[in-house]
Amino acid sequence: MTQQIVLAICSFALALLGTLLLSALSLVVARSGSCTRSFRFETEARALTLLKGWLSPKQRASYERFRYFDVTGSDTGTRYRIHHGTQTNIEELSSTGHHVCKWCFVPDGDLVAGMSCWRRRSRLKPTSAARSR
Amino acid sequence: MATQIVMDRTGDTRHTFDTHDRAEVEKAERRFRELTGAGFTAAVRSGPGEQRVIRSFDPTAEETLFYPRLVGG
Repeated sequence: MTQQIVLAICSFALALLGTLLLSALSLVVARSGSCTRSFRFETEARALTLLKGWLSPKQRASYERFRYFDVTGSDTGTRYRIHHGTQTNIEELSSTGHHVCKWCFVPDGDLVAGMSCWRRRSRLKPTSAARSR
Repeated sequence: MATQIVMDRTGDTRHTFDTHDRAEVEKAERRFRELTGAGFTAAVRSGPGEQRVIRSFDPTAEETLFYPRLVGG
């Protein structure tokens, strides 16, 4: 009888411990997810601030309205449209402004969307103001 | 004061230095060499919405932006 009581108490204690551990684990996971989201949001905001700061007024207006902006290649004069995003977001345009193809460049490393857009702009952007779109 | 902005996974990291302080300028130049040596491209503003890629350290540049190389095609 005593053994049964001890066994029951031990089982109860084990179940309680398991529940507590599971709760703690789920709390840690939830907090970690929240931190990741918060970190991502913050880095996105910083990247966008930097991106907008380095765009021409016309590019900035286009980006804010349509989430894309146009640049002209410094060597070839080819026009590209850079959409907000992290991959396959560079669209090559013909001289008449029609879609030619899409390019997929990614920065070497893990950057957020605003940074990726900026990085691509830098790669394609001409040095001459006359070519600015 | 001048700023070196390095694009990274946190958005960017900024290093500010006094252009009149020789030690700080030397440190900034070392950082420039390290980053460009690691594959980063450096650019400075050349006008509103305009930028110019630089290959050597420019101590007079108010803002220098470093961005990582692109891969893909």
